[in-house]
This record gives sequence, structure tokens and C-alpha cells, in this order.
Amino acid sequence: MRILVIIAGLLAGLVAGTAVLLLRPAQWLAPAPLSQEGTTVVMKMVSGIQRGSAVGPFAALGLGPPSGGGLGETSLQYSRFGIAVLDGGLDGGRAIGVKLAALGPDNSLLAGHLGGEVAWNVIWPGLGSIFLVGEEDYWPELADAMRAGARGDGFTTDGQRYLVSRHGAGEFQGVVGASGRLQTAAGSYDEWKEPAGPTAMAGQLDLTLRAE
Amino acid sequence: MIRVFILSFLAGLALVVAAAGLYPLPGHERFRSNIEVLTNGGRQESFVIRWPQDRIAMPAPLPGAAPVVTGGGVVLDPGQQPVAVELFRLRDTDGNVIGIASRATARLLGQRVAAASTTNWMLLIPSRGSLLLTQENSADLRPVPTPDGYELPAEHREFWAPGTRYRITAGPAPDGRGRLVRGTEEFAGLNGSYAEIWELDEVAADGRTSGRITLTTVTARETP
Repeated sequence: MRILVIIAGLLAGLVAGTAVLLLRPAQWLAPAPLSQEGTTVVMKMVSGIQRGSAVGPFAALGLGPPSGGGLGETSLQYSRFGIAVLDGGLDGGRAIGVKLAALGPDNSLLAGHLGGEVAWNVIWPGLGSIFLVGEEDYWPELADAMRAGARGDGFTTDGQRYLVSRHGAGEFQGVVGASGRLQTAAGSYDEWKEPAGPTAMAGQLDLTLRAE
Repeated sequence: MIRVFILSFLAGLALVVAAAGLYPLPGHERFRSNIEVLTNGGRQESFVIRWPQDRIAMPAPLPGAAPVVTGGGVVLDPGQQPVAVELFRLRDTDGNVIGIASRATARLLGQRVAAASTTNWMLLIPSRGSLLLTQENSADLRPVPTPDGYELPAEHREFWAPGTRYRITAGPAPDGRGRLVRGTEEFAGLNGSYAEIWELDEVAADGRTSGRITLTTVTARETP
């Protein structure tokens, strides 16, 4: 009887602890990020490809196979690139975006930080280009996967759309350089990840731009 | 029994905290950085790309864009304004693969020489951070359409007829060097310039070329 109580207590503690950890208590007292002003340009990924480490929380935990056969080097096993044709933006024409990403150096399960460093270059043919830097945040996807697993649905988030760009106070995320017609642009971005195959990239970039 | 349950519950919480704190999150392999300290207090570091072996093949066709014939890139061309995006493995001067690099070449508004082209580089070194670079090129290096797809100028022997070494960078810095737009992580807070040099090693019987691209950065900490 005593052993059963101990096991029940341990299990209850494990479940409660995991549930609280998924709520990221370490960030409850963090200051809210500053809001950005500007005009929001929505750029939908018409098509996209990616190769390297898989995208998402399990890849960030060192689990799961690489995407598109990986990049072939141990120094690159937690890195990936993506290229997307983007609709929208300047004059309604298409742009092309290239994204480089790697696991972040300060990931911590206790701090509720699981993601990667990201750099984007978006080019509008004949017009201009912008550089974006930021971080990806896989924690919401990890939490959903854990809840799905607890419900018995399997640890999957297939079919769901996630805001993967991270906005944290004290962390810069947005436009760091621009050229051509966008030379004076500044601002921030949101990146949405949508379900796609292992070598595909789907989603949307919302650019909030202002002239400086 | 209630006391036993509470103690076990607290032990369960402690196990979760311990597991989260001790879980071995993956890290990046790191190589020794080959940085030369300059007499003016700046630092010089070079990165190398060998073509064609360092080109990274695309995992699948990209709808809406055309492939580069030799692989390792795609071209978006909405009417006479092609943008080429190429992906490479990035090496240090010892030959170690330390990161990945993207190169985007296009003709953009505001170029000092309208007939030339602009190249944006992104260098991602997972263990150190990223460098975002931009330059105006010394010639129009945009991809050229062929029946089989797009070809890049340097892939052909004709491009190398004048010589086997090209300085590609022609600005926007006053000394003809490119500009460091931003660095992240270890490279955060740096400003500086860079130059891109192409050197030909060999021209094969079919006309395909091989060689190396060297990106030499000269940087210094931004003064507050």
C-alpha cells in the first residue's frame, strides 16, 4: 500500500512538474517585448524547399532524422537552409527568400527556451533586398506535442500552424540591413510555419516595415 | 500516507527539474578560429568555398524558380531580372567545414554602376554566429538563361579567358570593399568590410570549372 502511494505521488509530481514546465514559468516575470510600428506586408510562401536538420522541437532536442538527407558534415548536423518563393510585397511582385538557421547557443529546458538562430535575405528582383535576423521558438510546438502524447494521439503536431519567430525583451529581431528601393527600411517580422513535407518549407513572412 | 504522498509528489517535481536541467541538449562542433589581429587593432578572418564540391544540392525542385544547371542553386526570374540564390558549405582556411553560406546575386536599384550586379552573402557558422555581407560586383554576374536552365558566368572557361584570379567586390566601401551589414552572436557588435576573390584551379575537358572563393573580412568592434 505504501509503495502504491509512493508511486502515485511520484507520478503525480512528474505530471504536474512537466505540465508547469511546459508553461515556461521562468519567463513569467520577463518584461514584454516592445511593440513595433509600421506597415505590415504579408508574404506568403508560394513554394519552399529546405535541407539540413529537421524543423521543430524534436530536432532541437537532438531527436529525429535530418531533412532532405542532411548537410553531410557533423559540424552542420544542427543547421539547415531554406529557400522560398514569396508572394506579395513591393509592387505585388514575387520575391525570393533564403533562410539559414542553426540551433541556438542558449537553449535551456529549465528556462523554457528551445529554438534556433535565424537569418533571412529576401530579394525583390530589380528592386531591393532586406536582411532579417532573429530566433526561432519551438516551445509552443513542443508543448502541443507533449499534450498530444498525453492524450494518446501520438507526439505529433501535424497539420498545425505555428508562429516560430521569437519576440523576447532584450533580443533583437527584425530588419538589420536593406538595399535598393528598401534602403531606408527598418522593422520586424513574424514567421509562420505551416505543415509541409520533409524537404518542403511552407508558411508566411509578415514584415512590419517603416522608413528611417 | 498523506505525508508519504506529498513527499513522493515533491520528489517527482524534483525529478522533472533535474531532468530538464541535465538533459543533454545538442551543441555544435567548433573548430579553432583563424583570426589575424591587425596592427590597427582590427581583426582579419578569411573563409573559403571550393567549387563545385562545396555547392549544396537542392533537395527538390522549387516551383516558381528555375534550377542552376550545375546544381547548388535556383533562379527567380520574373522577366529579365534574374536573381540567383546559391548554397555552399563554408570552410575555414584550414579546410574544415565550419558552416553554410548563401549567395544571392541580382541587379538592384541604387547600384553605383547600373550595368553591374549586387551580391548579398549570409555566412552561418553554427558554433559562432552569422555574418551578413553585401557588395557591388565588378561585373554583371547574374545567371544567364540557356535551354537547360540557368548558368552562372564563372562556370564557363570563357569567363576566365582574361586570367585565373578575379576580385569580384567593387564596393560600396570607398576602397572597393564590400560592407559587413550585421553580425550575430560572436560577431555581434562588429563593423567592417570584406572582399570576395575567385581563383580558378582547373578547367575540365567539358569546359566546367573548379576553383575557390575566398571571403576576407576585416572587422573591428563598434566604438560606443
